[in-house]
Amino acid sequence: MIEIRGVSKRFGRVVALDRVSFEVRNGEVVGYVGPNGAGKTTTIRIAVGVLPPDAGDVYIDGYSVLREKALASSRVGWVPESPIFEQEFKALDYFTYLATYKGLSPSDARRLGRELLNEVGLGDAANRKLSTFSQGMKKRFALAVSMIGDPLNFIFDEVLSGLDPQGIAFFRGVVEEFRRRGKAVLFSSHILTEVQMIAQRVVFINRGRIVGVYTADEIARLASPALRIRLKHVDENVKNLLTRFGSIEVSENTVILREPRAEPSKILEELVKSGYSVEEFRISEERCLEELFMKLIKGEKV
Amino acid sequence: MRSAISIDFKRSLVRPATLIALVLFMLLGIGISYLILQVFAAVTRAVGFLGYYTLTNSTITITGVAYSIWGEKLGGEAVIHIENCTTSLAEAVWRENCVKIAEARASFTELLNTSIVLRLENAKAPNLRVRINVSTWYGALAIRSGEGFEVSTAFATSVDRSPQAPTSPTVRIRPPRAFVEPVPASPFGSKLFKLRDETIFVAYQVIPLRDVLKFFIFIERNLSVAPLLQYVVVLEGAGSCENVEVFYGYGNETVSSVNELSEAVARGELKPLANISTTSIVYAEAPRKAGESKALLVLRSGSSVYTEVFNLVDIQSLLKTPVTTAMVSQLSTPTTFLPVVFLYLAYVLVAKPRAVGALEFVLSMPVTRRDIYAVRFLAGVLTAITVSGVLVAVTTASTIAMLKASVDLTHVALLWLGLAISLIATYSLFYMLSTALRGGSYLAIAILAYILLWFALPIAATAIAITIGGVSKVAEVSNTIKYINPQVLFSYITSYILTQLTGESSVHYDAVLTALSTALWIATPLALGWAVFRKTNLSS
Repeated sequence: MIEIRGVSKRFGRVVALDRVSFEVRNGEVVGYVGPNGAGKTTTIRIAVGVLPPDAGDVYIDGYSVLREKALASSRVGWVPESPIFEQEFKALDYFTYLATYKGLSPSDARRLGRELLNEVGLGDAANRKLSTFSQGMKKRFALAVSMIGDPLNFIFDEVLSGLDPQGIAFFRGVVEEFRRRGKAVLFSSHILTEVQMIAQRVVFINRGRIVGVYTADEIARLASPALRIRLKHVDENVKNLLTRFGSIEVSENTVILREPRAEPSKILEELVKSGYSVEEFRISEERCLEELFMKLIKGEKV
Repeated sequence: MRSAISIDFKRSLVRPATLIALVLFMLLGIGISYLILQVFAAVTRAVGFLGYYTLTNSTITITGVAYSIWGEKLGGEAVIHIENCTTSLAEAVWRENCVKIAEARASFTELLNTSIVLRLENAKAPNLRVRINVSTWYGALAIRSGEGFEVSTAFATSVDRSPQAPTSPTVRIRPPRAFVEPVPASPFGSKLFKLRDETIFVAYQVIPLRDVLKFFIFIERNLSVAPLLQYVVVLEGAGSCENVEVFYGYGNETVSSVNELSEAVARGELKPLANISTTSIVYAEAPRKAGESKALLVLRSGSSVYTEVFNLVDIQSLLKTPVTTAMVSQLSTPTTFLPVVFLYLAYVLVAKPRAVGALEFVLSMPVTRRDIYAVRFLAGVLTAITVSGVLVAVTTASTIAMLKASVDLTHVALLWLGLAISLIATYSLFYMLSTALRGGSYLAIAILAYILLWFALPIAATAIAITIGGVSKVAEVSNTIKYINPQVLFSYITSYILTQLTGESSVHYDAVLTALSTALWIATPLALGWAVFRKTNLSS
């Protein structure tokens, strides 16, 4: 369990975090969402003990990161957005080096290293220098290191950014697996849809303050979907027809109908009855989530 | 944590920069020994030559053996010059007023024996001079090193007049200048025996080593010779020279008759060493008797007995002081440049990973900042201990191997300790800088600090001292600023050893100030570095 309690941090005059508090329970994936510069990475750095807070504390399974750093750090794994390692090392050697900090003997560390590197898909790269690793490989390596000692808590910071579809699928699978195994996972991203797919709860942060905490169901409810309708041609009549059901945005032959006031099937029926040729008709959640996100950021009521 | 220290130590040591520096310094250590050997060979004469020449009509024959001060038979290359001098030899200055009239070269493995035919305009009374350059393993070193060393392997003598019939064997030999200094502690002599109608030439060299006496005995019968040696005594005796026996023993008693010799042999006080019936060179060795300070060599030919008593001082012990002195002095050279290795190590272990943000991920492990700070410092400490150990060991081993001299192990241990602690203090300084400065800035400031402390400060202090107080002030200022250097302990220890060995001290060091300065050089930067590191942002 990860508990973030009243954490504040300033960088000079800039308030990076202002009394941030939330928790991640075991068996739960919590999304941590906010725009760039909102304070997500600062929160995470404090949570993993690499940055001291000005106030507040973080508890990992009840151990204070400030006062019991070693105990707390041994219970949490961290995959940073852009992992940076000492480039001169080979992957397995660096794994061994870091594992010795977790109390493993060099021989045990090497054995475990081969196993975990294999598990994260780096089995063939174990003897390659870290300086030759791509961003995706570095994240996989960081994941392997974070799995040493099989901790109960994991923190993923913007882990999906910059990954290819295969990498995204891999990390989603890992997070789902961790949740299934009862681990507490904090998963940060600036893309809500990314988080919504895997998180049971989402913590929204903006300008260093928590602006909302919602469950996945609540988000689904709050984010009323938009309809994306592509027609053979768009004229004034169809615009008037659709305006009856909600606000519209028109781009060439496509109309986005926001917050529809009727069931999608009813709207489609009306269009067909009026003789319009509908080429595409689908529910688009993406924009709706973004709007929810923007509303939260702006402090509007959702 | 111990494993992490071990891995950081391993990567500090087993990295190209450290290994190249270490290999260079090891080669330098061997080079230092080589240099010591050259200096030693030149100054102390590491090579000796036992021999003689004969001049018959117009043919001069050179015969002899070369040996090292450690009792090894040496082979090599001999260059023999015959010079004819225009002035009398008594007045002639070495090599001046003399013209080379013949030259011969000869390679030899054990015995040099070469003849040269001379073309003399005035064969009746030539002022001849024989000069031999023997290039052996040791001698060759000396010759290659410059003309100044050449005297150490040049064996020369002058001929006042041609030897005549064997019945007039007296030959006056003028010791050449090159032989003024005898080989250290080695009884070195030659004797001409006239026994009835025969003249026996006996030259010997006894080399006392720690556990063994080595004998070189050169005997030539029925000969009129001019031995190529510096101390020559002509003895005339009577007896048979059919058989020459050699005995050795320990003690201070001389043996003056065959009866006394027989009794001494019967009592076991003298032991036979060799039996020579014809022209011969004897290489022999006998175990040294513990506690004896004198030994004697006895030659018997028929009823004639000759005894020589000589002091037993083993050469290795005599060499200890000059060898250790040279080693200590020469170790200062790599010590001046070793800080560069530790400047670089602090860059690799802290400044560089901190600059790119790589320490952040390390800190996410179950460790504290203090652990990381301590681990990487201790890795440098272990590297300092290892590098200094290897350097001192290689220098010592190569010195012992090349010079076959014993070195006081306490001195070696002190040198290691002094060098290791000095390097730790040096590393502490650069470590502090690496916590406060990143990447390129660190390198610039660290190099500046190195130049300032190791080179600029002493020069500047000397200049200031001369400006404000004249030359007399320099020593006073130098005595003060020598503590403003992380390597003051090594300087103190070298000064201490040299004082112990030679009884002289060129620079006075205060032991308390040295200890205090060293402790401060280690502790202060370490504490300041920690004060910075505990607060510093380790993210990129």
